[in-house]
Amino acid sequence: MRNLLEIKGVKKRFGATQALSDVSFTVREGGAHAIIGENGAGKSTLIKMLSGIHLADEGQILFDGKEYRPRSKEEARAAGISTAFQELSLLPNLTISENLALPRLTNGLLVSRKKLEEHAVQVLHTYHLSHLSPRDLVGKLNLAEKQKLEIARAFSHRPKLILLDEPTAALPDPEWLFEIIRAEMAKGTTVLYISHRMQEVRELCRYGTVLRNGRSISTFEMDQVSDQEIIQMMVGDNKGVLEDTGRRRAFTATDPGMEVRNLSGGKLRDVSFTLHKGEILGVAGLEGMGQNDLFRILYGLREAKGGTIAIEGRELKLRSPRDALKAGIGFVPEERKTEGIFPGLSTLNNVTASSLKRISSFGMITGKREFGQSAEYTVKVELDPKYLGRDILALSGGNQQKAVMARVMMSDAKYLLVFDPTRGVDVGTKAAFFEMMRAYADEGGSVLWYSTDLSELVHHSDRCLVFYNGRIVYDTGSKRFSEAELLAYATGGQWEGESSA
Amino acid sequence: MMKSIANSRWTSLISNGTFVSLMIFIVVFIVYASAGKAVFTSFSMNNLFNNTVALAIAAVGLTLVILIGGFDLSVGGVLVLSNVIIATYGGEGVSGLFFSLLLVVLTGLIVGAVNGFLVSYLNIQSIAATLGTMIVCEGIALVIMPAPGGTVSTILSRNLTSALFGWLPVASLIILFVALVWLFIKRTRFGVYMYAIGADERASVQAGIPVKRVKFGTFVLAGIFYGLAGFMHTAQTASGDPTSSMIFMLLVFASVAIGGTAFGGGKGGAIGSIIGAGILTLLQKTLFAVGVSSFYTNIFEGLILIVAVLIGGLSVFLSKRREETA
Repeated sequence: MRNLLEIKGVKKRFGATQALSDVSFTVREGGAHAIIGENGAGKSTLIKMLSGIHLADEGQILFDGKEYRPRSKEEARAAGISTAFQELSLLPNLTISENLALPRLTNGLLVSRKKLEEHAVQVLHTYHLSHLSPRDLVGKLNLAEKQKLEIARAFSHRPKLILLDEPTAALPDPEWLFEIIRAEMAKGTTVLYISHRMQEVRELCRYGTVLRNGRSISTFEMDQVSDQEIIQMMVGDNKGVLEDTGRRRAFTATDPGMEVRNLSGGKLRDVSFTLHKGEILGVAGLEGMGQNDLFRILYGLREAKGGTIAIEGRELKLRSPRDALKAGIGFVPEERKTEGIFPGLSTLNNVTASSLKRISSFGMITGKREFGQSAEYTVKVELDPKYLGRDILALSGGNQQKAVMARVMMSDAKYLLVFDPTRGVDVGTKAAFFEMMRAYADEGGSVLWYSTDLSELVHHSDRCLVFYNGRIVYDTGSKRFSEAELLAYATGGQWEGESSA
Repeated sequence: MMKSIANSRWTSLISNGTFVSLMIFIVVFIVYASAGKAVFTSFSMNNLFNNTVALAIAAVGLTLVILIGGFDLSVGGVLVLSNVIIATYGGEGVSGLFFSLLLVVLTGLIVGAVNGFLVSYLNIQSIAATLGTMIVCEGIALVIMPAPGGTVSTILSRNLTSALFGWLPVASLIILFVALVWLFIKRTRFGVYMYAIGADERASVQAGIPVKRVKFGTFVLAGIFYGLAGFMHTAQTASGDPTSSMIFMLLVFASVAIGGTAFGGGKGGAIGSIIGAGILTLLQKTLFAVGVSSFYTNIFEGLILIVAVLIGGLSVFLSKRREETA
């Protein structure tokens, strides 16, 4: 088999982040090739580069023997590469037939609905989606159907190489996809398959490449390596061994803080766990496994479909974040820029926004109290008080986060929900953040936190829950655990290493 | 099962802004007719179309910009500017008529191009950019004509406001023509792109749509419609008036909203806006006919707008509920 795609020493930087630092591998023509890696390993950047959305800073890509450097999606498609994106590129207010025909739509002056529909019927039939009507608006489809349409559209351009980015993330029945992929491969199409799920990768792909921290670690034939070996490559050489974190406190049933029973909603399916007083409980999971919904439900941003949440034996009804705050639950959200801060207000106003009652007398905010009381909390989170008077947008990402933390702590929250706190944050700030979290727990507060960085979870949690497809598939308990162990369960597998210490 | 299909047909009907505005139009029309005036006389019909035509054309233009998720305040400015330009430079006779038409199209095109450039290529928020061009346009109008006056071609002021064969208002033909132009635009590639961009600009880029060019073109096209609205407005007033056009601008926005076009972009269409303009005109006449003081007109116009938008919002609410119970 000849080489269809050759990637040589490709690098890409976004501002301060080196997304790809050295990627080189070769994809053979025909068959499927998997790209495997943790969150943030560089898979998405690589996909976008091959799709014509980003340009490589350095390195060379050969496709079909020719230099390949697409500047737009159209150029990529003309060369013979098309992509089904994970964040879908469908337009909700257009019909299925219009979406399938974008951006060409027509060769003449007017768009012929009839021609678009004829084309759509054919495409839908080819990809076993005949139950969909070409006239329906895409916005009316559920997520799984949208994902199928995105995939069908990518295939319908008859590419030589198709890129599938986490195609099964929203599919309840991956068999549909596998059938299509096999049929297309039989016709000679090559597939680059990006997935976290080891089982799928094994079922479909003959070759695999592991990415880690923006580097290609190794390319191999799938049946030559074991899951365990692949996981080792994903996490790095020494991380399979157990590391002592210095903090593994055992908690007993006598100090239940927050009890979650049979919780469902969104992607969550029947989730039960207890968050003890003073405990730092980590949540591990690949993107879209339900952890997002868990945090949103616990903070009253999303309605639960079933199950109960109780704090110190008292059952809660969480209809809004206001209810959650009253129950003593605070939330540090992931996207500080969009969810966490009030841009344009001063840092001081940002810190006190949840505790205005405390700092006002007779409904008026008193400046002295506002400053005095918030200073106490800014010291706790190690935010220099000199920032209080400034616009929060003038602060660095790390300091913005400290301000959000100070706000949550000032609201007297006994239970802290922290969602991916370290994404895009520098090392010093990370260390300060973990110290802060520990001090908070030592004073009796409880923390439930999610991080995409598994090694952080290993180092800074008392215990860890692993989510897969909306369920808790593994609870580490109070014993020691390793990054590789978490990853094995997070990818839908088992771990047979030395774990029960 | 049958019931749920019937339900969904209802929700899709009330989510269709054109249908809602048509229903409101019929209701207002019945009230108007039952007020006992001679409604179906050619004089009365001619009057209704003449009073609607400028508002309707301007509303079609604004609909385009709203559809791509933009905002355009320059509509009033272009109207006033076109008006004083015709009254000052238009000239007499048939040649004056066509020269005037050329002038307003150019005026709208230039202002629209400036708007489009500022918004698409300099990334200025459309509400700010068009606020600027609106004020500039009104300023230029004052420089050209400091006080009301001027004359326009009598062919413009007489023939375009009359009725053919004694019963067919010329203004109604012009509205029909504008509606056909819209239906044409909607069926071109450009038209589909407008809807796509209004719904999701990022996804549109990913789908390979030339977003910047389409946005620019939309503002230019809208400007031309505003110029034509100024042309028909001038035919009505038969003179130039440089004073501010705030009220007119608000009515244009109201027409679009009543017509069911979502201000967030990507949903709606210009036929609804034309009907919306008709509703506002008809409402004024109805209130006058039943003897309500004109001081109350604004109150009713505002209420109709809120009702129309509420009915549109109801469908979103209903379909959400259905999803949850399903």
